Amino acid sequence: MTTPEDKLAALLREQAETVVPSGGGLATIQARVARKRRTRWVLPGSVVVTAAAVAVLLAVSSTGTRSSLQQVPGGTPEPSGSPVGIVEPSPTTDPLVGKDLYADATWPFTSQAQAEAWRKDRSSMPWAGDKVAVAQHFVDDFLGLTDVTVDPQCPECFEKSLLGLGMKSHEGSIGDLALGGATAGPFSVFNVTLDGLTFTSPSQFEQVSSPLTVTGNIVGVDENIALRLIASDGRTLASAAAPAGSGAPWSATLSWSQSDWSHAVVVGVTRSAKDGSVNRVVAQPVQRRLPGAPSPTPSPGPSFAGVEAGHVNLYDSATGKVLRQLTYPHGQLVDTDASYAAGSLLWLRAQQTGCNDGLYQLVENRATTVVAPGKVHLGTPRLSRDGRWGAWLETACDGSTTDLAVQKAGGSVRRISVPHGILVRVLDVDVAGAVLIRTGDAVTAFESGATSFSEGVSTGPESGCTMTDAVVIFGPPSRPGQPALGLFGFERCANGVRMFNNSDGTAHPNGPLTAADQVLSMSLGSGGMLVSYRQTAGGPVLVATYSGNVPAEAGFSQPIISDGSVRSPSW
Amino acid sequence: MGGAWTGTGGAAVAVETAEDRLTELYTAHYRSLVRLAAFLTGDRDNAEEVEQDAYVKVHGSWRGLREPDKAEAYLRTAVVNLSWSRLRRRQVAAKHLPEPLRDVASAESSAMRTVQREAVLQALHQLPRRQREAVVLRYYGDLSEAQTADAMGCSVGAVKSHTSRAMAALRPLLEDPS
Repeated sequence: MTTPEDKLAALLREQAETVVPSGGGLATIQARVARKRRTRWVLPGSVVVTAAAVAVLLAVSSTGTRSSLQQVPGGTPEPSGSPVGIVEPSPTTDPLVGKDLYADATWPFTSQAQAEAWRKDRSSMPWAGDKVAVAQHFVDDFLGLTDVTVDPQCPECFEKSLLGLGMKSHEGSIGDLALGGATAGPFSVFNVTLDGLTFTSPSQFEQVSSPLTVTGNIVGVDENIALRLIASDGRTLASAAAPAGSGAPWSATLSWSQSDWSHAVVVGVTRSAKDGSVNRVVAQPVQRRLPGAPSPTPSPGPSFAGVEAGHVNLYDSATGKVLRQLTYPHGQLVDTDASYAAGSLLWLRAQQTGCNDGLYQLVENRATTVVAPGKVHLGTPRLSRDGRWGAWLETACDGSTTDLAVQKAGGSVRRISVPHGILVRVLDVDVAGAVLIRTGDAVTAFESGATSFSEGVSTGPESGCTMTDAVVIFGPPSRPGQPALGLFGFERCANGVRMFNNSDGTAHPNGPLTAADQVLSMSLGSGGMLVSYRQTAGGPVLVATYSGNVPAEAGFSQPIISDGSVRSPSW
Repeated sequence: MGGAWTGTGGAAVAVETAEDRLTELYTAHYRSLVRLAAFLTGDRDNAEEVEQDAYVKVHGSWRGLREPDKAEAYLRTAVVNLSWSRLRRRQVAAKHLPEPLRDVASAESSAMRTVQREAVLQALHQLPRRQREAVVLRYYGDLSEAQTADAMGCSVGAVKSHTSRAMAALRPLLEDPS
């Protein structure tokens, strides 16, 4: 007797026979692989041959005045003369701006104070230090979706301050749950987003009052959206239903009378008409608007640091305005390069003359010396995104040798000798200690632990492109299906500047970049990718972001700073 | 195959091996995986592109594969994931759900069987994604429950659940009228 399963198998096989691949599949794959391999990856040796015989460009000449720091507002002390190396930033705060990591969170922690209280007494929510457990409790206890399970295997998909976890139901992915908080926990849920079901109002963290009109869009099919306003203590304050579909905007009104809450979440859930299981979930945090409260102001974006006019500033990425001056060089001293990550600043201070560069780090308002001045020329300091690794270049005062220095917080400095005559600069160091450097017309990656230059693996430009003014950085942490050293970068091609992603071999749109543009730097941080570029030679440096789902569908923002001269912006 | 990768540390050997192995995989599985992608995306026009993406992706990840001898399974998983990515992107971009497989000339002489097949295919594409993946991998891919779980990145229990739900929806269309 033929079972339904057998019948289904037979029908599928019959249908499959009607799908006939073209004959050129292998050739297409080979061409794509070969193109990627031939043009992207070249020998370090070939770099040696082709690179200009120019040493690292650093400040030169020689007097012997010791570099020193002035106190920065906020009580930064002068660093001790003894180098202490890279210092690990605190996992709990962003010291430079005093940012509350939980201020924008939804559940269960909505303030730094709550997180600190939990650290002292974990008995109430012992699971809050585990991201997966927080996600599952959010789904079960807060949203009350008992038929949804969080997949513990889903990796962090993009490294921001918000860490992505996929929520899985019987139908698969139903939303992207954003978790965040201090690196070592506790963790809090920020929101739940989904491409096909979105809120157009209220906006995130909007201060709302009753009645609240909730509007949004849904892609594709007719579904009923069950809306709830849930206070952070778990009470459902209001509920409504919104029939939606066919791509038309939907809307519903939530009304409530309670006034004993401050933070809440507007949650939208759709369910399958077939079996009632959850199809999609979105959640938008809001705040209660107090009577007479002023109109809400937009939440500031993540801050970034950059060098301008010989010192380092902290900027608001939403407005481009200076939030604070971070360093105060005086006399003949000038700050020339900096890297900012995880609330920590690594920066280079040089004398106008002499072999007298010093490398310093600012962590929790305390400046420390990483490399004392007066010994070597220093260049291109870079911090990993978690602030735990630093990398920079050291060139002997007489220019005879150049080393790539790599150090983990609390560890010793590892040096890789750079063959003489290669123009190099550090581009990035990743959270595992791998380092990426520019080597002439290519970039070379060193895995963590490399001790010899020959261990580097280089990548060159696409055919017809040049990397002479291109920038490349490590991609997000590797995930299944990605190589260990994913790269993103810009390179100059015959028809303009383009962005590439070596992880999947694809190129991406360039937004406003044209052939005349020169990309100067890239930095991957909590707000996506930060890019500085010039539109005309010698013109102002513009700073913009690639936001969105980097690298898949990135979008180039309008410049945050369009008339400045901010160098090496990083976040 | 030309091995332009000549970096140090055994990379050249790794890439050569990847290309040779992927050529073998192409010969053995390309057609069936294109068809798998067609079932999962409901889009036969783009199925081949999904499949090529999967080969390129697996090639690019070769050095990072923990168990290269399981490349076929990685490839299959890549097809499943890329199919979903394609589907999701298209849903957003085009603001409509994927169309079912287009009508094709039936190889069957029985008009009744053709009608039944079309009905089943239509129902298949109305299933939730994970249920569709489960039945296609199980009954078209002829994979065990464990292999299906591997490809879908979920537990065997979840595969059983997806399959059971899917079959509950499809069974009325598959049973003999008698």
